[in-house]
Amino acid sequence: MSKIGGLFEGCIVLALGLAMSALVRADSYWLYLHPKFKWLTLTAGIVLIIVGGIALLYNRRPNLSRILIFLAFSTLAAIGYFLPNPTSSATSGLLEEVPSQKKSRIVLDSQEYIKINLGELYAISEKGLQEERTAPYVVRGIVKRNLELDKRGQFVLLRVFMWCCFADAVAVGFRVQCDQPDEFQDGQWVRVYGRLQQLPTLLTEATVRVKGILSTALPRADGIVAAKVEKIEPPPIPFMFEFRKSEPYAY
Amino acid sequence: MNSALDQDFYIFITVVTAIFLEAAPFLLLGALVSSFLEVYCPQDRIGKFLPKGRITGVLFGLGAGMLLPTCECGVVPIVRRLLLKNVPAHVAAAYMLAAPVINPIVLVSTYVAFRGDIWMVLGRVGVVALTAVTGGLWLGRMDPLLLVPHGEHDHIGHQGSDLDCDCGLDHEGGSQPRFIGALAHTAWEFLDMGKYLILGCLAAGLIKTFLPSTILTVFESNLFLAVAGMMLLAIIVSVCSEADSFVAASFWSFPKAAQLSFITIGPMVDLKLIMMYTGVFRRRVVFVLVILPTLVVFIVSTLLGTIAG
Repeated sequence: MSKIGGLFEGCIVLALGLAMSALVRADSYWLYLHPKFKWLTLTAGIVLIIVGGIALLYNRRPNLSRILIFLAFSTLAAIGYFLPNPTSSATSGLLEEVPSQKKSRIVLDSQEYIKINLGELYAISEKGLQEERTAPYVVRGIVKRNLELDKRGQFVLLRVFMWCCFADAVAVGFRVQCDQPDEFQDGQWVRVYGRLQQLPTLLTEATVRVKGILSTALPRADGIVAAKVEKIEPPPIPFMFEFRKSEPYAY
Repeated sequence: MNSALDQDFYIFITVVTAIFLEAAPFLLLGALVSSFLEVYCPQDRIGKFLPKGRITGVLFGLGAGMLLPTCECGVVPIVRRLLLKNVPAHVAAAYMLAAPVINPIVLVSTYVAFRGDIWMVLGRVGVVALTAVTGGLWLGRMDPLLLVPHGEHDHIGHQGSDLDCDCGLDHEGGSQPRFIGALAHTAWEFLDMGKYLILGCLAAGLIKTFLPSTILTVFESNLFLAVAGMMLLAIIVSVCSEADSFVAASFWSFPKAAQLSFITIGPMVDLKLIMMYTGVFRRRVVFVLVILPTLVVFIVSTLLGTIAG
């Protein structure tokens, strides 16, 4: 019995190591962890393969609760990995950025807009210099609407920022003032061209929560007054991972 | 399954897997350090290098995280092993409570998350240090071996013992080199602690997925409720100490004192840690490790919040 138990426990560690190493190469790694941690997951995976392999050599009485808990977790994780993601509107992951998006600015009606992500714009809104605050920007995210916002001719543009893992991700949102907010549906990906401006509101973060995300950061006073809002395809990886303090921004 | 339930289930699985994947490398590091300590470091050797006095010992434990930085998941197996090696309880307890915060990586991440607010960094260090000193002195009154169940039987001691041990290493001194034995032991230590980590991840995932978001807004207008609410949230969501500042900073509508309570209680008490404490320490010790930080953080945070207005 101890031989089988030892073998089984060694196999669990070995399999976990293999799964972690394989996950590093998978398209969906970003859903769980920030891509900057790939090396850490891979290192841990390799070490687990080594120690699990060595553990196979030893006799050991099995610990049933330990085995069952790890098996239950592995089953759950495998279901999550192989099921299609119902929370993401991202498509196949094969969408290519159009050439103009590789530049740090986009021209619209003879006006250059600086490409920036909502997290970076949030930092400018909170502590930016005057010239940064007044510059024209283009941002992208998903639309969140509610009755209070509709009355004001606004919607909230949201995007999720991941610091380390999905469990500690936060959403960043900006109210967007535009002509026809009802043209856009909840969850629709849009690109917004506009400038920061004070838009007083009593909006609380709980009213614009993203399902599964711990909290939503909304600027205290600023919103975006849109020159144009256009529908876009979801980006291959919808989360924001990078935060730059100057142009070219991560977008 | 309907689509809302489908979505909730998917989010639950993602949260559980994400927390586990984030914590696993650090838990593995802790298991590795613990196993090598066990195999290569004879009983009582470590104690010879530690300060003799209780106060100096606690201060040493407080600062040891600067030398051996680790997050809250990795520190538990290390401390278990240190206690089994007769490291005084006051040093081990102070190290366990302080190291996940008082280390260079976490201090820098706190500074960045709060956009250079040095008071949040100092506040975090101060509250955690106070808790660690108090906890160290409190638990230091006990024999280290009495803190951990089966402490009397160091089950991987391998000093030629014929105890009925399930560790798998060769008690007769057999043919496998000690290095290989230490690696095998790392696997079992990882499984041992990983079991509690998974239970904590499952609990955190359940609550995080199904807790209504509007609950928090009830707390934010009153200092006492805000501090209590943020502490409860930190305990539930079990975010790693390296990332929790960014989460806390996003709750800008909450008082700073409440944000401080979030980043100080989380690295000392959260669901995954409570599970790990339960697996390692005696019930009385777990009680102290949960209640003491909760009280200290709540009292100090509300005091600071009242003073700051």
